[in-house]
Amino acid sequence: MERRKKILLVDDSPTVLLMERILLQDGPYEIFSATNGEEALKIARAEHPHAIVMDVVMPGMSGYEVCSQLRTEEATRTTPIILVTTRSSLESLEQGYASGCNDYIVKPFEAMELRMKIASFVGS
Amino acid sequence: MGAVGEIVSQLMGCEEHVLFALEPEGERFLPVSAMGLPPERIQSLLVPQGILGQVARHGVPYVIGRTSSVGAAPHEVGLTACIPLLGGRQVRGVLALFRMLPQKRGLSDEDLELLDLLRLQGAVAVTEPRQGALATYEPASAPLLGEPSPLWTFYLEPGGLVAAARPTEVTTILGSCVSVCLWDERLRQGGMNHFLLPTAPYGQLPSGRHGDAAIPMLLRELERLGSQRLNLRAKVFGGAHMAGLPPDGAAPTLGQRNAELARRLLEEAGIAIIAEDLGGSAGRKLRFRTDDGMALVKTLRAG
Repeated sequence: MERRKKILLVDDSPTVLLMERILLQDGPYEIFSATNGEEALKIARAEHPHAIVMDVVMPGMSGYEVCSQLRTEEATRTTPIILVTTRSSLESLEQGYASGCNDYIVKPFEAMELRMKIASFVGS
Repeated sequence: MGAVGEIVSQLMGCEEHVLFALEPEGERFLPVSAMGLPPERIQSLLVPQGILGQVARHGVPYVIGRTSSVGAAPHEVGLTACIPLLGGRQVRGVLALFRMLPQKRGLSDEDLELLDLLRLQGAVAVTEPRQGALATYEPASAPLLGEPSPLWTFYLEPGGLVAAARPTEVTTILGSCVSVCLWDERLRQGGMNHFLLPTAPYGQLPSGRHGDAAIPMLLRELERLGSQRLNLRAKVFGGAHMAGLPPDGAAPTLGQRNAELARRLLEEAGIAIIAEDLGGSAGRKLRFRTDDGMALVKTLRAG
């Protein structure tokens, strides 16, 4: 049996993390979660996830900053990163691409959108 | 309450409405009269934005089901109609109608005639009581609020849709999503959608997030604005596969499926695609002008 793909979820809201976890629990995934950017970097370095789903607006390091940092490190240079943004921060999204993200999704999103985006990066 | 309020409540059967005068600079509404709406609701409407803002800026009435409701602000939920009150060619105020009486099923043709009358004559209701405030307004040096603004700009979010008869620049950012831009070269108007998935997942209502709904919706909006299908041209963008290109023979990616759906539906509708930039592995920032159909794509890469 193929090994389950590792997905790292990053959001400062435990509710959002829980929701994302529930949406993905039926998939062939091993889920990790982090509630801030520093923690996300640690887990990414240790676990080498197959994809990262990360909130943009977080206290401390923003999603953009974490993204930039991950791109400077060999192990995570090409890890797919999907940024989770809100309507109000949509217009800063260009910065997200400049920092190296691969795609984005806007809250509130439909379950299938998150699943299909992740599947398109890691295979379903 | 005044004559306008009486017409709206007793003749049209709308007991939730507000009449605003527009400040000379166009930056704020001043409540003149209202019925059935709590003060905090009126408070939330004082800055001209959303549909009320568009009506105030462009002088074009909004009627639910007849005009595009794209761009509605959250506090405009339940808006049935909003008409500009014109003094000469200038917008002096707006009249917003919210919930209608339960026995009324929307606005009848007679209601629309009355509204049209108010649009042309109703400015008296907002100018008379505020004569002093408006007397300082000098039309010769200030822009005419009733005239179209040169270029309206709109940021389109995923799942959204815009169709505009006025010159509008629509901006959006695309990853695996696809935007179809339609342009009517005769009427010089156009619109754009931004969908995430080709079709609605099982059990979900189709919406602008799904290509098989978003493309017909855009077409309908433009037809409602007077466009004929044979005059429409399409430009299609997006559909990237953001994790590098898949190997040959692999299942089509989400981006490819979105792009294929757009091509197929446009072909079925008989609309020619005159430009496209699809696929690849990078995000795109797209700017589209609804009046001249110009589309600019900036490739988004890290760096």
